[in-house]
Amino acid sequence: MKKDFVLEVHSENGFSVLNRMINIFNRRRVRIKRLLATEMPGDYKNGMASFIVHATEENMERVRLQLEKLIEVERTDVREMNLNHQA
Amino acid sequence: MKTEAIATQKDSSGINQQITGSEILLRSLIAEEVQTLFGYPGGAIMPVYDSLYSFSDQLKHILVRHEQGAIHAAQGFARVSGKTGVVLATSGPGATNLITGLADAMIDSTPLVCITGQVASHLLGTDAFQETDIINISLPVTKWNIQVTRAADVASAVARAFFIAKSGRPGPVLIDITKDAQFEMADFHYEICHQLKTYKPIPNPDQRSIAEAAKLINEASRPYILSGQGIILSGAQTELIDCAEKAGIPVASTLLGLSGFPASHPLYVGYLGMHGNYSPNVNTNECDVLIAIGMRFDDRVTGNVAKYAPNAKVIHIDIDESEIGKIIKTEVGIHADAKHALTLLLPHLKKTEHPEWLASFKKLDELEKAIIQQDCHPECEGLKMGEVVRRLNQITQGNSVVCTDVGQHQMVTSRYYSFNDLRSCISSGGLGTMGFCLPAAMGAKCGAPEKDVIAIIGDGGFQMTIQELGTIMQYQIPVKIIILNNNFLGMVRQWQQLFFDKRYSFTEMDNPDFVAIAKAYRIESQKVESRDYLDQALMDMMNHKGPYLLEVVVEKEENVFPMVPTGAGVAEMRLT
Ligand SMILES: Cc1ncc(C[n+]2csc(CCOP(=O)(O)OP(=O)(O)O)c2C)c(N)n1
Repeated sequence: MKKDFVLEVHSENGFSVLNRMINIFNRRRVRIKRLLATEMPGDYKNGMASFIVHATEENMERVRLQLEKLIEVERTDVREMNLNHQA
Repeated sequence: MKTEAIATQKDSSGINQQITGSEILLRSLIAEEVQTLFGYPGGAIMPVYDSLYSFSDQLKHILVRHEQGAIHAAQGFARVSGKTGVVLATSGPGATNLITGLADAMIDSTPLVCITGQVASHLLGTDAFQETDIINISLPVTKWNIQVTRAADVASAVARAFFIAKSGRPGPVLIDITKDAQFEMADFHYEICHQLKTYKPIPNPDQRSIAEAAKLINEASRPYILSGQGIILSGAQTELIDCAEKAGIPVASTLLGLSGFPASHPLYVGYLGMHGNYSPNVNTNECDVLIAIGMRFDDRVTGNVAKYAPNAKVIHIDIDESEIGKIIKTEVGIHADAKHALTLLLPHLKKTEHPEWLASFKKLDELEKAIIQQDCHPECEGLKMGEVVRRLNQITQGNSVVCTDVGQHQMVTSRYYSFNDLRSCISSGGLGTMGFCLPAAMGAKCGAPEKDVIAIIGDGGFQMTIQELGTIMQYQIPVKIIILNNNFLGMVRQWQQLFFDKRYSFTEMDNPDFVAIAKAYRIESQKVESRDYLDQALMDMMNHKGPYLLEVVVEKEENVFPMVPTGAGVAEMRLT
C-alpha cells in the first residue's frame, strides 16, 4: 500500500545535487507531491531538501538508501506523514 | 576534505608559479600516478591537448578512433590493473560518445575518471557550438560529476574525482572543464584526497551481524557461497578461499566474479546465471544458507525471484548498503568491504566439511556432460565455439587475460575458459554492451603488458567498434583477436529459434572479409574453417609477436545450453 512520507535530505549544496535526488524518485516512479529546497541560512555550501512523496514502504526504503549513497548527501530523515503532523 | 600535499609548482627561487588550468590538470593526473590516457581531441579540449604535447614523456596518450573506444579501453585497463582508467574527450559529440561506456562502468563498478572539455563559461546555456549539457546527461550514469569553470578549482576536482572513483563501490566520475578554465592561470598545489565530509566509503561492519552470519553458517548443512566482483575489487580471494575451505563451502561465481576464486579449486562448482553451469544454478534452490559476497542478485543470476532459493537463509555481504535486500530478502545483511568482512568471519567459522552436499553438485554435473561433449567434441562438420575456447584454454593453460564481447561467444567463453588468475576475465556484464571487447582488450593490454590478452568477439559485436583496429595498428598493441563468426547475431537468433518460432527477423549478417580488413590495417591475420587447422591457427596466433586477428568460422545455428528461460526459476534450467 502506498502512503505519504516526509523525507528530509541534508546535503552539500552543489549544482547537480538536487537533480540527482529527483532522478532517484523518477527512476522508481515515485511521485513527488511537494518539494522544498533551501540553502542553510548563512551557509550557501549546505542545503536541505524536504520532499513529500507517495510510495510503498518498501520503495521508500530503497529510495532512501539510494539517496544516502549520493556523494553529497550527509543524511536522510524519513517519517510517515499523518494528519496531526503536517510537515 | 582530508588531504595530503604531494605536489606544488614553484620556480627555482621557491616562489609559486602560476600555470594554466590545462597544465594543472596534467600535473594533477601525474600526481595521481596516471601514466596512460585514452582520448580523442576536439575544440573544447584543445588547450589540454596542447599541454599534453609537452608532457608526452610522462603521460602516454593513446589516440583512439572513437570516444566509445576510449572509454571501453579505459575500462579494460582498470579491470585488469585495479587502477583508475582515465579518458579525455571534447565537448558535445565527444562527450555524448562516452555515455555507453559510463553506463557500462557504472553498472559494473569500474573506476574511471573521464575529463571532457566544455565551451567557455560565458557561453554555457547558449547552445554554443558543440555545447551539450553533459553534466545532466551523465547524471544517472556517473557516481559523481562536476563542472569546473576556474583553473583554481581543477586540482581539487581531480583529487576528489580519483578518491570517489576508486573508493567504496567503485564507479565512473566525470569532470567537465570549460575552455576558459583550461586557459586561465592559477597556482598549482595538489593534495591527494582521502576523505570527504558527506561520503563514507568504508563501512564498519557490525560485529553482531558477523556473529549471526557465522552461527547460520556453522549450523547449516548445505551452505553455499556466491562470489561476485566484490571479491576481486576488494582483493579478497585469499580470505574467500580460507573461509570456504575452513567451513567446507562450495563456491559459485557470477560472470563478473570469474577469476575471483580459482576455477581449478576443488570447492569451485561453476558459474551462475542464465547460461551458466547446471549444478550451481539448480543447487541454489537446495542450499539452506546462501552467502552472497560482493554481488547484486542480477536478474540474469536469479531468474524468477519468486522461485529463487526458497529453502535458504540469505547472508548478503556488500559494500553498497543499498544492494542489501534490494532484490532478495536477507536474513543477515553485512554492510562491509568483502575482504574486511571475511577476515572478521573466519575465526568464527567451525571447521567442517559437507561431502554429501558437494557430491550433489558432481551428480548434477553429470547431466551437463552431454552438452559439454557436444560443444567441445562435436560430431558436426563445422567448428563449434566451445571447442575453440576449450583448445585455447588448453594452449594458454587458462593463464591469459580473456576479454569477451556480448552474445553466445561470451557465454561459451565463460563456460569453457578456466579463469585461474585474478582479474583475467573482462566482459561487459550488467549492461551487456556489444562493441565492448575490442577496445577493452586494447586497454587491458596497456594495463597488463606482461600478460597475453585475448579478445573473443562475435561477428556482430566486432563490427560495432571495428574502427579500433586503427588504434591497435598505430600503437602496435599486441592483442590477439578471435572472431567467432557465425554470420548471425547469434544470441538473438537463438532466442528467435526458441521463443519466437524460428522467425529470424533481421539477425542474419552478410559480413565483409575480416582477414582482408585486418590486412588493410597491417594486422597479421588468418581465417580457419576446419577442425584440422584449428590448433595450428591458435598456435600461430599465440606465437605471433604483434597484434593478430584470427577469424574462426563456426556453425551458423548453434545454441548455448543449458539455459534458464526468462520467467523460469533457476531450478528449471533447460538442458536442451
Ligand atoms: C549495443 C548492443 N546492441 C544490441 C544488443 C543485443 N544483443 C545481445 S547479443 C546480440 C547478438 C550478438 O551477436 P554477435 O556479436 O555476432 O555474437 P554471437 O551471439 O553470435 O556470439 C545482440 C544483438 C546488445 N547486447 N548490445
